Amino acid sequence: MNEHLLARNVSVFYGQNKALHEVSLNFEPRRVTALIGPSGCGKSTFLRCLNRMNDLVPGARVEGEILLDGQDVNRADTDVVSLRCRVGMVFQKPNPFPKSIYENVAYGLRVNGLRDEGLIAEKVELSLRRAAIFEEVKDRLQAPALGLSGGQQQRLCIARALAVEPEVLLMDEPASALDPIATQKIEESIRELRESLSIIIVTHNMQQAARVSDYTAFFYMGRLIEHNATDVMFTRPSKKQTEDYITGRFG
Amino acid sequence: MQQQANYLQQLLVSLRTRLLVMCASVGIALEDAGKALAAGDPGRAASVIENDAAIDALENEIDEMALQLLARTQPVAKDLRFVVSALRMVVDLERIGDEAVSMAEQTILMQDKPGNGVVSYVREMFYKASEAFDRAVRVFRENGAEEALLMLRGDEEAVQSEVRIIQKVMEGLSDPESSLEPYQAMHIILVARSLTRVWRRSINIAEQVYFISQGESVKHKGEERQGDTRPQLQPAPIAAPDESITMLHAADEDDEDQDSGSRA
Repeated sequence: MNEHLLARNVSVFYGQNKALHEVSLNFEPRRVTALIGPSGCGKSTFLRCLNRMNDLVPGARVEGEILLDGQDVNRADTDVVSLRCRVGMVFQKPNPFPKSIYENVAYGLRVNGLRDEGLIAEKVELSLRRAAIFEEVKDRLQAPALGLSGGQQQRLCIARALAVEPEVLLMDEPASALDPIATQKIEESIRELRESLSIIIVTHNMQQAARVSDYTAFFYMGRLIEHNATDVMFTRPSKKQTEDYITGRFG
Repeated sequence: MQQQANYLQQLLVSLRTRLLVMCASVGIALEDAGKALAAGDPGRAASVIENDAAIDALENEIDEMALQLLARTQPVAKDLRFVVSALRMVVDLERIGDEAVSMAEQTILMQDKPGNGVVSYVREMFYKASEAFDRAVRVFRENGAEEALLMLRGDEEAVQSEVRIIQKVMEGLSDPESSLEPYQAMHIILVARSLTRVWRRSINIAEQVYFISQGESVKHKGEERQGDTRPQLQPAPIAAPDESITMLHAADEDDEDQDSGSRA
């Protein structure tokens, strides 16, 4: 099989409430998958399972398997920090550390035990370049990250995630708080990054899903309704529920 | 989201309504061109030519509506297929209008020539071509994907009808007993050519209806779909070689855009 990240019958419970119902999805390397669906449909819940962010939610319980290169990430002996290096995440709201631009990106490298400053500087620059922000910040790497614009902060967060060389990048509405130009830059980064890693992006913006993704998965009421090539999804979806949602005829 | 959807629905309904208006206008032009030809009525033919401007204006209007709709609402799925198909259908409709004008021009050119023997040659083909057009409009109005699929088989029949007319004309010209004059032959052939185009463009419209409904393009698949059900319409052997006529017709498909397009 070509997939290296595979979800098999994943269900999520928040206390007694079953938020996700037996979702099975596979993610091929170097492909972008968009997760779409109305609010509360379970797409973010599913995304957060992939690097065990739901561990942080009290009362949350995950069933089923999430296999990263054949290893179930939910096993008790999984090193969660290492998992989150391999499966990085970018959130809706940019959340840079209150440190310099440089240190934001170097942070993960230092946590991983890298001490060679020359190598760290090299990786910081590479990560900033991959996130398409290096040219904008190269002359002020020691300036506080919080002084950057929202769009720049978000790309810095992408650079921070990229520094530890993840195989998968999870993005939860990464451009929803950004203006169209900043959004376009994020989307350009996504297109470039897909050359080297898998990206799974949750978005409410259907045009964005259509623009950036190779595959699209439509969730509704905690269930995966349709998973299809994006080309097919937005021209001739196979399920009526999908058609109704993407054409705005829902409910 | 819901507001956007309602706005989109309104635009889609308006676009569909204007397309149906254009279908009706083209249908009237076609019918009038046929009546003018049958009666040798230059007055009626002139009105067909005059009214073509309204059809052209509808084409421009629908083009603009579709562009606005794409720019403002970014439709997807069936809505997207409808808008894209509308942009194609509007071209077919405008060209059918042009063919009606072409027939009207032939009617005017023939008016003061004695021995109007043209009509009998083309009456049957006119009936079939306008029936194909009416059927295409009906399947569009009623979203009849199944019937649209059935229409795809008519392509070959259209060609065969024209070939039969040309054969008759040739027989007439080579028969010393016949009263058919060369100038009449030319008019007959031009009218038959127009009718073939009307017929084929009607089939194009049916293809679009199927695409809107099913999401599958059936363009250029008419022959594949015919299979064994292809009507067995083989022209009778005559003096002129059949192959050359059919080849002439195949070449015409490429010319079609150019010579019809220059009219508007």
